[in-house]
Amino acid sequence: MKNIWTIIKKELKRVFTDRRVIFSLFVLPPLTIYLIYGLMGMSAERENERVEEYTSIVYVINSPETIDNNGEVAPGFMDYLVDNKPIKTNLNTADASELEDLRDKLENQEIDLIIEFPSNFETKAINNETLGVNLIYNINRTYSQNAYLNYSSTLQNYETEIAGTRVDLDLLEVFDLSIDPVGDEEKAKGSILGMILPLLLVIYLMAGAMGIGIESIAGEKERGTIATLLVTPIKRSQLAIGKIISIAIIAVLSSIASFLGLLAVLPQFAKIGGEEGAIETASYALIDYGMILGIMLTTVLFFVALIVIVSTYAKSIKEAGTLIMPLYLIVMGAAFFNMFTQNVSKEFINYLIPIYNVVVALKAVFSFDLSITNWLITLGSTIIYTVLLIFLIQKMFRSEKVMFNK
Amino acid sequence: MLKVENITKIYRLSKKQMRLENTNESKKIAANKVSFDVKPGEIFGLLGPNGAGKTTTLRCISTLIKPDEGDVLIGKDRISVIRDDDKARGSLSFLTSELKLEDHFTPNYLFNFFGNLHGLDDETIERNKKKLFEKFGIDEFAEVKVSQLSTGMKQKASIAISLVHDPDIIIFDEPTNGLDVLTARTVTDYLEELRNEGKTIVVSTHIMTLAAKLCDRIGIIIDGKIRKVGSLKEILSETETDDLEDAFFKIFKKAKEEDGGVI
Repeated sequence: MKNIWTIIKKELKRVFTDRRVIFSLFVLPPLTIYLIYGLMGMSAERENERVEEYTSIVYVINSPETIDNNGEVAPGFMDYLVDNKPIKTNLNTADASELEDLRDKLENQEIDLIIEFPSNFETKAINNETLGVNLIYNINRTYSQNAYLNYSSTLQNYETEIAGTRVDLDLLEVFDLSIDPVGDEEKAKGSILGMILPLLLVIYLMAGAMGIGIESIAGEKERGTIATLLVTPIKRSQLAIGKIISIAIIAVLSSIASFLGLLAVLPQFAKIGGEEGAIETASYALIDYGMILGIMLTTVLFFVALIVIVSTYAKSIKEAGTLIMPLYLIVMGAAFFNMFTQNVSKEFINYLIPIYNVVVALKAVFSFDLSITNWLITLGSTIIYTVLLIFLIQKMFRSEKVMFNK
Repeated sequence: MLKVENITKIYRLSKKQMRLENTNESKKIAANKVSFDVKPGEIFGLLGPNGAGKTTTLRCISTLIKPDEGDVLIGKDRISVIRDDDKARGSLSFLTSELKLEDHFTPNYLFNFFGNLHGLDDETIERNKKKLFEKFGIDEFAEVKVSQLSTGMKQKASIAISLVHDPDIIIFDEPTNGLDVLTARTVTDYLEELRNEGKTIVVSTHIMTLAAKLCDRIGIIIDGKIRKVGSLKEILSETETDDLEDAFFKIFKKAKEEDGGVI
């Protein structure tokens, strides 16, 4: 028993006297969970807030006036909405003749919803006819989808108000709601992919580069094999670039392998989402694949450069593993933070922020909404950051404090 | 010809290092105006206890680290803190047990790899490989991965690979460290052979018998300073002793008295 206790004490001492082990065992896991779920929650909340703050532009065609069914009165639709607006709304009425113009505006995302009542709704309602009310919204616009969902419920409540004017309780169904979505279906499918794929791709790219990047330099330092290279006439810069390129090649291959696995499992994602077939039928053009590839290649180089800096600075694989975690968390954070944002960012600045720009650009390309300018900004800025990091790596390779810091 | 002129190297100590070294000083002078020269066809031994500054001096000579002061001259080319170290490394070889070979590869592969890094053509690599592999008996395990080799085999392979470019100057930190008697003998015999070929050789050691037997001249280094330089005969004569160990302790004691330290 004494021996067992001696062994236990030694093992516990080994763990609790090593700050790195304490960090990776007891600090990192809760931090990771907090960060990932916190950012996911923050992203969802941010999106909700944005949608809630927005004032939807809604047009009502043939808006019903007050319905008076033998003394039983239901308010007109606009009057009903005075106290029952489901969301912040800029309400407008229009004639049926304006429908085509409004549809165009809806497609151009200038307005959010058209509620089309049939003509002479009041009379037909009194005659107990079942009518069709059409909701027209844009499937590519979050605000429009939100307006459609909220006004569907409001219309059902309004239906109950009208039904209350009827004597015959079997005639509670006043109207059928029909929907008429406008917009690009491909884009809608793409936005589903845009939620998941940037996240997975960015994490795979980072993870693919991490293992090999840590091993390649910190591993060589730990084993003493890097010094053998440093006593040859090879320039430190050549050694650094050779390492970076070889790690990048392996990381790209690794991320392609992960990507193929992802493609294989995508149909399952669609089933989980209840939209079977939606994802696999989203079809991208060659230029989209080119854009994705361009982003992947520059990103992997950027990630490799980041990892090489950590790996060069660290004295051992263990230290590099600990130091790399905060970077990994930042990458995951950027990916999760953007997960629930459905609208593709058009702001120039978002395509300049390191790491985040890649997530935003991937999201945009999967949603068929990445302009060549924003693509070039993403690629250009990522390449510039990578070149700066490579300069730093070369400087580190020339520093004896860094290379011989055992 | 190798000339070391007033090399000084100062390390800044972290708080942890200060604690470990039991000192309040945040700086440690690892090499303090170290000067000596070595002629072609000569083995110069840097003899000193652990922590005396031997490895730091050799690292400065081999351009792995830069001295804070002083210069190293190789032949007619002067290598200083601002010169192109990459070219200098082409004419010297630095061997130490700290330098390891990657486990995943074979001695044959690594020999070719380092030959390429030195810019040698295939023919030269093959010629040098034949000579060195035969000398160290590496042919038998040339295609075995380093991970599967014994310590002696690894050291032999490491030495052969370090000499792939047939350098004029060979710097060897603790050449027999960790080797069995037979391998150690192979190494010292080969160093003598290289001396006879006219190579300029510097070795560091704390083993008195090795220094006495192998080195043409010896520099005794204590606390970063060279305290005595000369042939074995000269050192024994100047210290009025009969063997190198006695001479060393006499010099060590005097050094500590001069520096006001504790023996």
